[in-house]
Amino acid sequence: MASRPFQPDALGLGLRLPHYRYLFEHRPVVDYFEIISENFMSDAEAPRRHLDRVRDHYPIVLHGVGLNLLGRDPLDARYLESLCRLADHIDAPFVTDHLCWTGSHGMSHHDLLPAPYVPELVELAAERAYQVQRVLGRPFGLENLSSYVAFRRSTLSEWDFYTAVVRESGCWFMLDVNNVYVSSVNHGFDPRAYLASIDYSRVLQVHLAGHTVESAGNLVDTHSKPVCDEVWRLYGEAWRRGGPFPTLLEWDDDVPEMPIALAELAKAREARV
Amino acid sequence: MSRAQKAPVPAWLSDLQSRFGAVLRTPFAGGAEGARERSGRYDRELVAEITGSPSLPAAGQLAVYNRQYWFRLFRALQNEYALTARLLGYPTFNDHAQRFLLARPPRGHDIHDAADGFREFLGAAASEEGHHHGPVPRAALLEAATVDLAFQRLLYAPSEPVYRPAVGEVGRLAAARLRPSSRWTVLDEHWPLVELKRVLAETPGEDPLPLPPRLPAVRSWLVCNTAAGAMMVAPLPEQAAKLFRLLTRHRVEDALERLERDCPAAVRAQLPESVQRWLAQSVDLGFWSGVQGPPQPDRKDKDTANA
Repeated sequence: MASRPFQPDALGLGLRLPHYRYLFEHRPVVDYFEIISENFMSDAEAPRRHLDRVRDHYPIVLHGVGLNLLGRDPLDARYLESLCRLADHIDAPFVTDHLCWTGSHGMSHHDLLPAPYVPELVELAAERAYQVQRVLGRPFGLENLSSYVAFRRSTLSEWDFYTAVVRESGCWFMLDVNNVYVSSVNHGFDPRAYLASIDYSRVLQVHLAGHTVESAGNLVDTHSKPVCDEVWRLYGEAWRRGGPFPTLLEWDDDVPEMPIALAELAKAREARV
Repeated sequence: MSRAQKAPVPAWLSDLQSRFGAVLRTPFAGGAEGARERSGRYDRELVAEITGSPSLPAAGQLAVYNRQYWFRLFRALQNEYALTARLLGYPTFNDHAQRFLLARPPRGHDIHDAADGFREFLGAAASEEGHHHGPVPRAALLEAATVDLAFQRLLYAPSEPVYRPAVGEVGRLAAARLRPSSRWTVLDEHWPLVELKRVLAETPGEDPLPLPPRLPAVRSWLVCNTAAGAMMVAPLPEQAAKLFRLLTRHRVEDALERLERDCPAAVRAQLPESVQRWLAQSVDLGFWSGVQGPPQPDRKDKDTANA
């Protein structure tokens, strides 16, 4: 198994369509970019051409939203094959996706959906994640979700479930600090207890993002705003507990000009002290 | 680590995901007037499975996912059918989109594919009694959807070889049939919709855009992804549009014969020169991915030439 693929303190940005023009004209200093795997898995020429131009100058990692690790249906072999081809094509240092389900009964819901946190799903998720990492032939990281429901059936805390899957699968944490915060507010747990449970020697990458506060006070992980102060504080705590680790900013909705996103990303260095 | 054994999928998981999926797909009330979830229709057993919180009961928590499902898919279809969505206005468009997605829930991992078949659905829906598409005539609505679909297909066109005939091959091309690449299309319009599509980004919003007046005559456009990777949209003379269409269906010599036969007398004199120019442009722009049928080029004819 490869060790961490970047400089340990690397700062990366989620690459989105509105960034291309600035990126190609100015080629800013960024340690690496992350792309949404599914946006580049078809045989469409235009996205691949853009991707190749970016790959000429920056490392790129893959972040998926459609693996459906906890779906009742088996893993999609054709999806995995496409993912492998893409990872090979750009020589991705690592690949990540979410510890969730995204579809069932042949339908794709295009959302990251939670499952009850129970031991039998630890076994299912760990076995599948292990297979994915084996097929990919490169480190595979699992991201914790932002969730808006909790199930009565759950017998484990989210962090116990998450750490057990990573441990049992031999895969890695793709720790999203904003998601920890969003879920902690929605479900009333202590986010610091969550961060304390993580084995930071197995953290492949940390994600940061903004969220939206709804009228009932619940939080929704919209990736449409700057990172909030409390998430920066939690990030600083994670860093003190287990840094350095590569850190990536996601901004998917109301995407600002690239310099604004990069300025937000740069705040990570200040939050580490 | 060895993981030879296969962990079973618990039966309850399948049931839970089936119920959850049904909640996600629960249609909004009053689609055209504004999106509002109907949490009272959620599966009661699933609601009972959710813990809820003091600030947001279980059904309210599920409604977050219900909203996300629809808004994400509405946005996907609004992007794929941007012109259609703006002509109808988002509330009416979303109403169509919701009915389409209820009939054909997404099945692939690529959200762009969720819009597959929407133009046909819209065509059928627009014929229904009492169908609501405001002041936009059915023909204009379908023309807008066709323009949207054409642009999307070009955007996602696969990589294909670009055919450039070798010097010695040009003379033999007449008997061959050119294989069109998927990086170009010819669009005919009765309303100035291609231009409208190009400037949509300059007038952001969700309200209906007024349909421009109908054109006095049909107008053709060439829309293509050039081999260099840029999207090109250019008005196309009537005879050029005919030529390119004929070339996709007939051998080169048959296409030229048909073009000449049907050509109005007023432009016949200039036709040979124009055809040479249009063919050369089509090769330059990478319209063809190869030839079908007769003669293969001689091995010695390695240099390429203009058609």
